[in-house]
Amino acid sequence: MPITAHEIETLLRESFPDAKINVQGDDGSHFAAEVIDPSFKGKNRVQQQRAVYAALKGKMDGSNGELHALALTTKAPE
Amino acid sequence: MTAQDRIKETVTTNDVVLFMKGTKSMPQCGFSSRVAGVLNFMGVDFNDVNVLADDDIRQGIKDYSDWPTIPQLYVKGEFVGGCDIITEMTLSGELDTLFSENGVKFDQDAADKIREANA
Repeated sequence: MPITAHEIETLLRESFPDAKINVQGDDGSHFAAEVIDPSFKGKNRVQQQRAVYAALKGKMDGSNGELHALALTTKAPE
Repeated sequence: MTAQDRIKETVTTNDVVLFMKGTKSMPQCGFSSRVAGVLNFMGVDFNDVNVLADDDIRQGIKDYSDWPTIPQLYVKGEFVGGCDIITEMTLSGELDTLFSENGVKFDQDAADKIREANA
């Protein structure tokens, strides 16, 4: 089932209520997301992106996942 | 040997390992191709593991690193990141630092060229 940028943003918003979130993409499987969240402060990129993947609750997972490709940019606010 | 044991042995007995879709000479996914391309261009001697050739490894590597996507780069047994992280680290010079600190040989001029081309 295809997913929309809006659905991705909604999922991310649940886990990152205070984040600046920008999701691009409209083909149903390839997206780019930027998440800027205070909770990322002091975490390295791997830890930040793991948190984002966790928020997506398995939608990235392999052949059963709806999301084939999500380019991620994560950082803490300046 | 379980998939987890095989993965552990691979990443601890090779300095630089890329788990990817396809091989370094014939990548089969744009994200894998991008990371393999950077390493090839920088002249890094790395082992490629084609996850498409082994379903146990394909799932096992995601469990090993708690990371849901391929490609995955390992240096000296440590998970470094996926495509987006490697791209950022290449452009910021952090990848050069990581390789230097771990005694991994790479072509500094080539790394600088990548940054010039993407400045």
